[in-house]
Amino acid sequence: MNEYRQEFSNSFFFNRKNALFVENLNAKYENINILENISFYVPNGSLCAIVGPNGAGKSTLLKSILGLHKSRNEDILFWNDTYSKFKDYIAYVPQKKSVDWNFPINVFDIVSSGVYDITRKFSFFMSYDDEILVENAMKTVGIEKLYDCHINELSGGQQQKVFIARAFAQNAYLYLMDEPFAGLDEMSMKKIFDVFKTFKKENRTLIAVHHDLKTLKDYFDWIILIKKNIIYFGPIDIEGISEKIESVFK
Amino acid sequence: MLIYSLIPNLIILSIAIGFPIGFLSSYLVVRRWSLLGDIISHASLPGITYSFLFYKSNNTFYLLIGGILSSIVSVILSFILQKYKNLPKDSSFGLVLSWFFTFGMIGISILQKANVEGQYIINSFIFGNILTFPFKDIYWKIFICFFISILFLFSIKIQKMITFDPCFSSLRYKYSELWDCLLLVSGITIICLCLQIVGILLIGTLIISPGVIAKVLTNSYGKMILLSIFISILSFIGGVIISMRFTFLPTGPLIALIPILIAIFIAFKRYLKEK
Repeated sequence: MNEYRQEFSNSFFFNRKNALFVENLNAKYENINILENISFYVPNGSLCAIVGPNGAGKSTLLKSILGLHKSRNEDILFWNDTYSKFKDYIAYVPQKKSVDWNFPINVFDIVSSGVYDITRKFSFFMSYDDEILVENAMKTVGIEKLYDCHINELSGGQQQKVFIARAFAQNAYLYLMDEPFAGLDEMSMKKIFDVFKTFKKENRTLIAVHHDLKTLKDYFDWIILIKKNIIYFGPIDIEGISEKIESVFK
Repeated sequence: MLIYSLIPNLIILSIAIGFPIGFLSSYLVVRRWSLLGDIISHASLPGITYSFLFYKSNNTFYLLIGGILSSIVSVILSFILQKYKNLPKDSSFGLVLSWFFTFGMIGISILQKANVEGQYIINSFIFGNILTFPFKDIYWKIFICFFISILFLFSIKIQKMITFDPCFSSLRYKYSELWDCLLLVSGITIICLCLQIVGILLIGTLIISPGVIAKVLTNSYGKMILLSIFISILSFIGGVIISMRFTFLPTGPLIALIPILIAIFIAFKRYLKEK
């Protein structure tokens, strides 16, 4: 995996201004407009929260950015370039409902799928480097003892940690996460955010749908307020941000 | 004596077919496409019948090509109904199955009225009869089975991801949808290859049962595949040998009966254990 990723060095990501740039994104579900004229950018190395009420289009926004939901006429640029160029540097944590929980798979298999490489997908065995990546990712979120457990035997919070570990194993530079902290206790959440804070120093970017308004300012430095349209995007530590957030939920 | 001389060939064929059937069964069960096995087999009937009407030949190659093509069309049609007409999975599968089987039965009626020579071959596809299996072309069939098994074996990681987390798989693997199609076409091919042995009406049991039994017994996809292959091979060899020993019994139902007996045995054993 590391050999495959030599194409872009760490300094490449340091030199880019924005990790994500979206302009004029519109999305529909069966003729109902879910997102209208969405335009925003997320600076490289920021911890960005997408906040909005239920049905505001947060998950659709993430899916549209990644091309999982068809949208039209938009410009979506990752580090000033297209998704296909950087797909190996982008990790996605989906909502829990999009996964088949009855599938016979254990924790190690899920986390290690983060390092499956398109060029080596026929190989049965992982390289030593990949194994270290997977082990470290599991240790980081504290699920190393659960490696042999079936995914369905885990609690909601543990399941969530497995997906975060898979994203960490991908060793990405942009993490797109759909409600990644749902079901996580405060300590686990803090531990995972400590990792993201170290990622920030490496100019890695997190964009997460977040529901806990109390912890917003503690963990994130950039915010996208959404309710079908963009209500606000920018730094979280500006004056009057609390009022803006409240207005979205009214 | 002639029948007994076929036994080594039959055992080799059973093992060769057991492998891809085991892989396919596991894949269809975890993908929640179990009914697809039934659709593929039933939808092959019009292809087989009309190929026979067109070529008026007993050559199974043409019949198999017809069967494979009509099964592919049926699978595409059922997915189109699901995707663009928002039909539930079971409704679209059931609908397509009945449509294609009806077309097939119309073809059989035409055949019977036209009194075309060699019609017995169509019956062997419907009910399964190992004695009508053309052993002269056994080698290319074994090669196809081997090739399909290899395809399934080397795509296990992709199968896991396509099934468990389709979003992740479509993001991570550029060709995940292509792999899905390739595995389905391989599945259709192997089902059509087995039709002459097990029969259109019963192959559904053989496609679904090994995977379901294996899934009940294990929590690992790898182990599930191994168990499923074992059950498939056991069913083929058991069915063929019992059919040879008691020649009045047809091969198809016997092959389909063995996984049912295994399922009953496992259920009974579990019941006793719980008691």
